[in-house]
Parts: sequence; C-alpha cells; structure tokens
Amino acid sequence: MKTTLLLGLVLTLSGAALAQEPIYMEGATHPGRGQLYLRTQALFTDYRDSSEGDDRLAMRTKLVYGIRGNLAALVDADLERFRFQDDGTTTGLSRLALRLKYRVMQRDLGPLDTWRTSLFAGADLPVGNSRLAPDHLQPRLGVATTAILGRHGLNGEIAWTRRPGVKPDEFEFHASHLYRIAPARFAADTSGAWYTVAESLNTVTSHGDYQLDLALGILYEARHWAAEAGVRLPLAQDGPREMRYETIIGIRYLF
Amino acid sequence: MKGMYLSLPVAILAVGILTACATTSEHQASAIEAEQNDPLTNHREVVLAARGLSCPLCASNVDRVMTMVDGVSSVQTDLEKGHIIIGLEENHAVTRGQLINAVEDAGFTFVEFVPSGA
Repeated sequence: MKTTLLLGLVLTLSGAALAQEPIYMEGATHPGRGQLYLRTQALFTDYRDSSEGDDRLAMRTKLVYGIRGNLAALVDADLERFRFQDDGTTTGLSRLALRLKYRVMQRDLGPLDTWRTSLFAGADLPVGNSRLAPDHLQPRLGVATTAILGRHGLNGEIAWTRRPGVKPDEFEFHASHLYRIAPARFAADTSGAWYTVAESLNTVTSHGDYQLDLALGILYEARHWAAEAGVRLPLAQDGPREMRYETIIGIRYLF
Repeated sequence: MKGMYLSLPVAILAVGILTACATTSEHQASAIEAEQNDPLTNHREVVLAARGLSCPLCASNVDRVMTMVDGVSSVQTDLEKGHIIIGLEENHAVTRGQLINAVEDAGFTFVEFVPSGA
C-alpha cells in the first residue's frame, strides 16, 4: 500500500499533457512519436447516500506514449481513498487500465483547425484493492472524435466496458465543448491560452442504471504544460450510489 | 428530455465515424517524394507551413519531435501563420524528407516549405 501511495505521489508531483483535451472524457488527441504525456488529476466526490454520506478522494494518473504519430499506448491508474458511511475507510488502487489508441481519421483544415477520430481498445486489469478494483479483466472499446475550429473545440466519445461477473456492462456517451477565451487570436509569440470546458458525461448500464452529469471547468495551457480545474454535477441518476458533486484539479505535462 | 440529452454525443460521434474511412492526407504524395532527399546543406534556417497545430501545447509536439532530428538546433512554432521555423546546425546533413517526416510524426499535416522572407 505504501508503495502504491508513493507511486501516486511521485506521479502527481512530477506534473502531468495533451492539450485542448477535455477534463474528463477522452479526446482524439495523441502525443507525437516518441513523446510521453503525463496527466494527473485529484478528485473529491461527495455522495448523498445518507445524512453522513460516502465520499471519495481519488488521484487519477494517465500516461500516454506516442508509438507513432497515429498510435499511442495508454496507462490509466486510479488511487482512491473511499470512506464508506457504514464500513470505514478503504484506500487502494481502484483502476489499472492498459489501452491502445489508433487514429483512423485526420483532416487538418487550416493552420490550427483539425478534425480527428481515434479508436481505442484495452482492458481494466483485476489488480489492486479488491473492494475498489474489478475482480475480473474488463475489456473496453471506444471511439472518440475531436474537432478544433477556431476558438471552439468539440469532442465526442462512445465507449463500452464489458464487466464479467455480477456487474452490468457499461456504455458511455460523452460530448464536450471547449472555448478559447483568451487570446482571441494566436500570435507568433503566444505562449499560453485559456479555455472554458463544458462536458456532458453519460453512463448507462445493461441493468438500466444511469448517470447523466454536467461538468464545467477551466483549462490553461502553456507550451509544455497545462492545468485544469472543474466541478461535476449530476443531472439525472439512478444507481447504487448517487453523487452529489465532484471537484477536480489536474495538471498535464508533455515530456 | 433524457433522450435529447443523450443524442448530442451520439450525433457528434456518428459524423466522426462516418468520415473515419476518408483519406487522411491532403498533401500531394508525388511532390513530397521528389523533395524527400533534397539536401538543405546551404540553409541555416528553414520554414515549413503545417496544418492542424490546434493549440500551444499541441504544437509543442512538433518542437520536440523536430529537435530529435540530428542537425536541428532550434524550433519555433508560429501559431498565427501555422509556420514552423527550424534552425539548422553548421555542416548539418538534414534533408527535406526528414523534416517532413518529423511534422507528420508529430501528428500534423505538412503543407510546404515557405520561401525565405515570406
């Protein structure tokens, strides 16, 4: 456990990057060949199960390596401290996922503008704390598309996670809009940019549970790093645990 | 209401998927082939035009991939024009093809070499 916590701490402090990428959902963005991109996010989630309620503190790390310009390998790791209302606190690795992401379409429309689509496939591994992490290998397939048009960035994602055992399969449908609030136009010496981020995050399961959320945030990106902060609010939900709100901060770094 | 809410991401993705089989490059392959081995021995600075640079952090990909080319001393990206300004070392052996490949390895589309002073 100490090793896991230390690993998470090191990854957080080392910073984390790929830009104009939404805060939560997947975009069709890739680092260049041979480039390593690290993204670390800290999340606090409050659930309304009871007057006391459960809550969760999580540290999410994403490591992306560009195998080629259009092919990337991804590692996702979530470290969580989950406080159960009636059963104490559990800390541990709640997710370790390996994925490949392949860009199947790229149309660069102008100096800045682009439209790309990527497929991704991989699995969540049955490792870590058994109460938080899956008991079985969970295959995951999806597609994401990203369009950058002037000051606007649009993203869409559909993903399917097969969850063998007692848990139902998950289907995710996400969309987002990023708007560059400053600068209005890039100049030769532009070194950073501010964006607003609005995301529609929707998950349904094969058992009929659903979670429809809205996430709002702000993103600043410099030439080699980016920082982000946001809040996630439920619009409609029906499931075993209902969220009240979630806050998130993160940092991205391109090595 | 829930159906409408879910339809937005589905619609965006549907358009993206439908275009996924489209061709991925707009530059003319034959023109690039002719330039692949064209040495740049008399140049200390070269400017390339590229597309799809997207944002400051995205563009830094090309900086980093380009500096991996032996003989490249510096890289600057002009997001306003979509230009990549490449400084070359003295007695370098960099070819046009290496620079074009670096732009594409970074995930962007090479357009052309920009004449000096443009």
